[in-house]
Amino acid sequence: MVKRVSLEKPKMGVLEYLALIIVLIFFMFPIYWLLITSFKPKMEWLVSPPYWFPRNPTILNYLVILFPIKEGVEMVLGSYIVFKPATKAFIDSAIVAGLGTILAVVVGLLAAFAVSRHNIGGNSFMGLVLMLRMAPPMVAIVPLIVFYSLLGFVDTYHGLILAYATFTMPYAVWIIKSFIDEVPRELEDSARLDGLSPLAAHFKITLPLIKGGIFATTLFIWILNWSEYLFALLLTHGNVVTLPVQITAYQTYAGLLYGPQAALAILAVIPLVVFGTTIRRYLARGLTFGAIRG
Amino acid sequence: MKSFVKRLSDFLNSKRGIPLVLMGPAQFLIFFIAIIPFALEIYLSFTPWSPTMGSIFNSPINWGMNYVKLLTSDFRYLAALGRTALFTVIAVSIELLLGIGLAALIDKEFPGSGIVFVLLLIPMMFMPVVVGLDFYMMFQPTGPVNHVLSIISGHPVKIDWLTNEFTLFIALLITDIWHWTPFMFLITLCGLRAISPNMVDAAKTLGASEWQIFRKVKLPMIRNALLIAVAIRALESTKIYDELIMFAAGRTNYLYENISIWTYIVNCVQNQIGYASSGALIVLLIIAIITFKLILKLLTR
Repeated sequence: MVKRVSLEKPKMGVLEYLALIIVLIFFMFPIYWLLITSFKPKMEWLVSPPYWFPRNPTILNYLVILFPIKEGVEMVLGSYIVFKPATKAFIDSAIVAGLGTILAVVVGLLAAFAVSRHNIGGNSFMGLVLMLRMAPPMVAIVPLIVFYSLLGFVDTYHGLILAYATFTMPYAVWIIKSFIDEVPRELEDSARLDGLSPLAAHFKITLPLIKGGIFATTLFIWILNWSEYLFALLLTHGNVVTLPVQITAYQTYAGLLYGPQAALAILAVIPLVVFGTTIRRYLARGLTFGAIRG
Repeated sequence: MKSFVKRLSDFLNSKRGIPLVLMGPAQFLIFFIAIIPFALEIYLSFTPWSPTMGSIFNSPINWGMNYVKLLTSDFRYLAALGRTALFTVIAVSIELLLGIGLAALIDKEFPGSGIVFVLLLIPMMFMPVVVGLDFYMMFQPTGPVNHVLSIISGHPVKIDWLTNEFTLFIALLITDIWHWTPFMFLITLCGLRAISPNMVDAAKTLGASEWQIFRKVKLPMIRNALLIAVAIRALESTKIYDELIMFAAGRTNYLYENISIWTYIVNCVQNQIGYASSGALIVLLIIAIITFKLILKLLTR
């Protein structure tokens, strides 16, 4: 008698459901905590035992972080301290992360064509580029601070944009190369027979086929640049202020501003989660430099 | 005019033009932002330079003294290296095991698995500074972590997590596990989903149990993906900095000094730029060996 086997995927048992619930609580609770803290008034920030839900929810934390007028700050904190509105940080972050990302993707795209289609650079170039990403940023920044002071690039938009572009370009090169490698060379070869030049063949034949991949790569790199903290902290002193620097800036004021900080954190993270979820199919490929095609 | 455009196009598409157009911008960026500073770092690493000594080009040269001191008598530096390595080994092992377990769980069929998948990816989209802030708040003495521990243990727990080295290490570990287990989970799941169902069906028909299929069929097939994930995570976890700054909350005593914090203190607080450069270059050398000998091979296989 032949044993009958089910060829479907195995179903979940009770224990597995229990494990899943515990896992979900562990991974979702910190997000929930950040969210409710952003709606808590000051007296609920550090109460013991902690409130699992804001008793008197307020949106003042959000208002005060964007428009810190005197009355608002007094309502939230009970006393007045001067702090800068976070609106500048949003604009600066958008400029620096946006332009840094575009530069990284354009430069990376060109280099990816060179490596993939013309065998220029090859493994040593790819290794060097990878090294840029693997080195701890703290190691890279030691001489960069000195170099930038010599050039007068400290605390400028172009200085930060160039640094961001250089250190995220490795992802662009590796990921976009993996997309180009998937397009058969023959397509370009036949276009060449019709009289297109090599560069025109890249941009008119291959580029349209990898549009989706480049879009995903752009969002992926934007996520990295929007989140970057160390370079922004050590290469700027107030002229350019990015969001991560702004979030930590409140650490040094009298006490901690849990509510407003959490509110700013939520606002800073929303675009990351939206874009990250949009490109979730490409996240594995992005994080592994194109090696794992999710 | 037309002939100029034609000639330009011909030049750009020539044997000399193509590398210039395609590789030129990348080479320029790397040279300008990475190679020149790197050369500067090598020079500085052979000097005792700090900003009070004036122009960096007039600095006295002490040749390899920085390196000798770092590797033979600077126990603070060596401890920072050791801490970084220890944290990496512990964090990456736990994240790998949890990630594999999670992926095996989610790979099954159950209602809502799509939503659970998306939810589990969210932590790794968070910026490190926000993760640091979030866990800083939760690890406060009156925060939810102590409260949950109180409920479980039955008597009040009042651990001040972020004020001594050991509990700070545990807090950092939990933070990193929360932040990056989703990465291991995602890579493992991608690997599992790439396995042809025929292989699994064949094993099933031969009477293999679920555990045997996972251990003997699936795991060997995703080995390469796991190696890549582990290698990348291991190097990334040497970079941890943002969370520790948040945990210190404005204090200058960081309690848990890994290699990034060490470099920050020596470079930006003590202003010993030359000495910090030497310390940084040793790290860079270690990372370079790992990158070229291991990661490059894994990625291009």
